[in-house]
Amino acid sequence: MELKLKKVPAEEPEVLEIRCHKVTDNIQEIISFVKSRQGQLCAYVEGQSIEVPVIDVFYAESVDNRLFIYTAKESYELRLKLYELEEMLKGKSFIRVQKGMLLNLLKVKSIKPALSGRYTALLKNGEEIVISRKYVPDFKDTLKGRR
Amino acid sequence: MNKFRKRFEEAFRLYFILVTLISILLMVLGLMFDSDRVFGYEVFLSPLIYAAIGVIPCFFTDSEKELSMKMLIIRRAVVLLVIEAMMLTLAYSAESIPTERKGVVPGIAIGIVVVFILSSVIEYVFELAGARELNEALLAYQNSENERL
Repeated sequence: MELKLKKVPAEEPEVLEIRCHKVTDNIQEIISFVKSRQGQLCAYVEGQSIEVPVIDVFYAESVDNRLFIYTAKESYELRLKLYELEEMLKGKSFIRVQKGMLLNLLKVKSIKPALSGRYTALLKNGEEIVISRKYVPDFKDTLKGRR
Repeated sequence: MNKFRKRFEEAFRLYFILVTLISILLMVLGLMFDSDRVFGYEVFLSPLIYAAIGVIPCFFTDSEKELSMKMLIIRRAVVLLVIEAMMLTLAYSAESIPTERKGVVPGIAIGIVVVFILSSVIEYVFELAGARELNEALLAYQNSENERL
């Protein structure tokens, strides 16, 4: 695929146009990336595409090689891998708390200790997420601004 | 290296919790079963040795797997059984411990359970203090992120 980049004056709107023969998985991945940079995630419910604002996402979980995002009450599927989503959300308030889970720190109400050096995050919608021991140091570093 | 250091730090903290609790346990059991006994200074080593034995399972039970709460509790129970077995073997092999006396062995066994539970409670209290700090850091993080947005 040929890549063209053209600078436009400040008064003109910025446009990203993709010209393709077919919307393949790769194209879909590019679309998802661009939308995530704009604060939207391209999600699916029963095959229907829907845009979910990143700020509404409580956490993302990988289950049987499928990735789901959870808002206060709903869940949606993303056609991405967890590491791809993690890369897209870099610099935002998401952090890995389990091997297959990203947590939005802005949706955490409080933290309490669990057994064996683990912690439990109580979310603002009442759900509880375990922060596994392996990810506790990164979690602490992020909160204390060391990452 | 960092992982080993962290594990060592945790074992070190547990060791001193155990030294304190075992000293108390020895005093209680001694007063109950053998209050007239006179010891030499070497007896001060006993809590240090027993605590070292109690810490050993820490280095073998730490897995990389994310265990469920049920599995964690089962693992703790297995650790307790291993410690009981080690301590009772030591008690039977040590001439200074009168295991032939009625009540001594059950006293040691129950004492080990009490020390195990108390050490877990003390560790939980430490973790609670850590969680309090984390909650403060979380609030500061959320405020700064919300301002940035």
